[in-house]
Amino acid sequence: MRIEARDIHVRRGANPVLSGVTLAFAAGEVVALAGPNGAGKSTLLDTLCGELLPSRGELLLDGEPLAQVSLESRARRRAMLPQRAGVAFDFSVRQVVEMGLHPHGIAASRPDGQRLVEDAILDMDLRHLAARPVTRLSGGEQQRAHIARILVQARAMERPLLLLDEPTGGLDYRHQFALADVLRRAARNGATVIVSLHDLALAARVADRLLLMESGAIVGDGPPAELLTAERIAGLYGLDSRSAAGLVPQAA
Amino acid sequence: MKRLLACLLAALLLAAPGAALAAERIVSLGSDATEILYALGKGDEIVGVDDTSMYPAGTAKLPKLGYFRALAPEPILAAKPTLVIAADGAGPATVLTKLESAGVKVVRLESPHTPAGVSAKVRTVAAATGRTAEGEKLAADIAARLAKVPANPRQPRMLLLLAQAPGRLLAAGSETAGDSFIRLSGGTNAFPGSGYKPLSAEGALAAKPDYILIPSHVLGLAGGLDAIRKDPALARTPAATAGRIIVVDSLAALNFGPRLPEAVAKLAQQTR
Amino acid sequence: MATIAANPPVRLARPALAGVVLAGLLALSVLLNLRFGAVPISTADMLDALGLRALGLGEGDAGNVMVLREIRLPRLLSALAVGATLALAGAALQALFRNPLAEPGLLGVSTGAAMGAAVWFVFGAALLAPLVAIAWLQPFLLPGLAFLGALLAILAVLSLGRRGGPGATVLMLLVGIGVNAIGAAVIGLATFMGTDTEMRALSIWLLGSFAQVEWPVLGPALLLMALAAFGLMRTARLLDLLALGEAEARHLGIDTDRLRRRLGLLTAVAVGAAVSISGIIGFVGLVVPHMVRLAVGPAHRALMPLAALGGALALSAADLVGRLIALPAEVPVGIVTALVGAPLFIAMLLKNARGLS
Repeated sequence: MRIEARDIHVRRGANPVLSGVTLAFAAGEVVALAGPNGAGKSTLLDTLCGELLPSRGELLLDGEPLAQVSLESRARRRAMLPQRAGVAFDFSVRQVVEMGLHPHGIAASRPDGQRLVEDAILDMDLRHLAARPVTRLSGGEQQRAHIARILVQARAMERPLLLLDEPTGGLDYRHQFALADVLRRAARNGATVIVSLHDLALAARVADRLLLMESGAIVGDGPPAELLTAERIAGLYGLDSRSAAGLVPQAA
Repeated sequence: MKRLLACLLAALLLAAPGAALAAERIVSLGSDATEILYALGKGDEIVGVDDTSMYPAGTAKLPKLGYFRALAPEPILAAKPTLVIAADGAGPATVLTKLESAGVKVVRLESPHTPAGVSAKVRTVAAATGRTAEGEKLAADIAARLAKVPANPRQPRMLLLLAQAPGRLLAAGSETAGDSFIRLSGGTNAFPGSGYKPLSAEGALAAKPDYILIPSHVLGLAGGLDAIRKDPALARTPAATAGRIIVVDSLAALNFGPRLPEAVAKLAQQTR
Repeated sequence: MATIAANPPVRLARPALAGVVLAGLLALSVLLNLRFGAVPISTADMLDALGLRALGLGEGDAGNVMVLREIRLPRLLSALAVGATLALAGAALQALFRNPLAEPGLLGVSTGAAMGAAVWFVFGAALLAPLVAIAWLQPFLLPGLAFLGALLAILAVLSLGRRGGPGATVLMLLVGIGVNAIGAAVIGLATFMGTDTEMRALSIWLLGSFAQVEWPVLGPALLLMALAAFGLMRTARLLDLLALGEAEARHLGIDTDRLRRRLGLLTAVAVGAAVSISGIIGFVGLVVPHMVRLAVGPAHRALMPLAALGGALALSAADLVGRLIALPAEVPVGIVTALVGAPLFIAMLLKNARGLS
């Protein structure tokens, strides 16, 4: 198991946000997180990456307690894209993408570093924007720059672990699909991908395994095609059955 | 023509028995030092003064080398002085030591605000400039004139004010030149604090001054005589209601130089 | 459309070019600072004073040699060091706050250092008598107290003004105003309790000037500034990542708490040592990094050394102007930098306000 949560409880302030979550993630799988607002998706990702400490329970990265893994070592073993990423000062897209090399101590001028950066820039369709300051780009373009940075960080790992919180925010369809392809490709090469998504169709398209969350607990864990029934969607999001039926992914 | 005169003068000086071999080039830092130098007849050897040296009229033509508490060494050295007379407070101190390490003779004056202090300053400057006899005469003259100022049996209460800005007044407490000036003139200092301290409305009332003294250089900062008269802190004091606000010559009254007796006598007369 | 291959060489060339230009201007400023001043000194005298008599230009005048060695040289060195240090401290604080308006002066760090110095001037002899007695330690006491004052100010600003999100700039500047006010109050208290002479010496010193600099005081301060500058330069790689935000920097393996403490400490040493020899000199830490960023972009591995060069250039040039503009007297350098820097600050503020709306 790449990463494992055993009965973790997490609080934000006085409020319990995750209660008794037990999960394990293996190499080569793309796991999508879905659920209504406030279900605890971001909290789960923040906890898995080590930013939030569970008040109870155990968290293991490659079998090692996460709390005992140094920040440097974590950064060489997992890449995390938080929900709202911003940049201060006029760093160019390329400079931001190069920041993904930092944990690995690879200089951007080194050939392997250059290749990682160029590939990510291509994958996120940023070639024409590479020299532009990130702060002058649209929201979706900024998001693509940060995704490219995470890709660089992850691809320099032996066995990448990617945590992405709402990576599709602001992305148009073309770039959502491009991201889905990139994540699938990564998993085929042995990466573990955990990604929270609001779009159930996209979740069905990208994920091998879907986690449904509600009120800080896991209420569904399995292949998207089995989990995403109109009834379950209606219950989870509080929708009438007609609206929910429209959301059942066709291809699944 | 000027040069010719200067040559003649130099020749005369050289020929005069007992005179210094060559004229000094003096930089005077402090208005008291400058006034003493002029009073001793050394005014024409001054090659530079600080910004506060504004008396006598001859100082207007001299290079001004900066505020005497914020001097820089190089402008002083540029005047090529052979002797620097530094009044109490001239500095920063490191500037004076730099002048000394450049081979310039620096004479530092002390300034206790007493008649004896004035005489001592005069003697120090006289000794440094080879005018011992003239210095003795001047010192004795100052002491005699100060002693002649009659005592005032009423001992009027006086408040001497400085201003940082209009409405921000400082009163002179004990251990200031203003305090000594008041007492030499036969008055009592109405302000109970020590040093220059901000004056509050209540403090002004409690001080009950019969006279308010405003040094001339403060007038502009305080916004003029009218502003002082109407200042809420002062308006209800006996001095303001009776219109007894006196402007004193800042340098003569407070620099404790050769004009102190004049200023003291004048104030004593005005407050009789 | 530019090709990808064309990009990296361009990025490498710009900072190098800027470095050459800045170094050239700095060399010019150094020469002008040594050559010109109230005392007229010939080029031959200048070379002699610098120990370059071998160039065959003859023997210099002893007086002029003294002026150069004891007055202009320590003064120039302190202007260079203080300028470089303040610019580095500014760049570091800007990275830490993710805000181009963060500056030692505006955030109250300089005032904090001045507060420590004011305590030294007025109460030092009484308060630290046992330490004053130790000869080798004495020159470190003023920079030391200035460092403590700067550290207090930084701690206050860090704990209050570091929130992100909308309004962060306003909050940071407001906290800076608050810290400045507290520092000014303590300075006011010190002047109130000090003697007349102490009070006036302090208020002159607060204007910011190099006139009183001398070798014995300069040594310890230069040492502290060099250490702080070295330490700040070494954080350059990490400062880039802070631009992403603290959580993102942590995801990239940076211990942001430790980095923040390290930057706070180094900035306090830098500003404390700078303020201890020159008083408060504003806006260098604001304007210089901003200019460098405009020229070569925000990457700190280029920005930090160039800001140091630029700060040294800016302050040595400002001091030259201050020394020559009012001959035979001088204008304190702090007034020169404020006259140039304040309008630029307002321009930056306006640009920032437009960006927010």
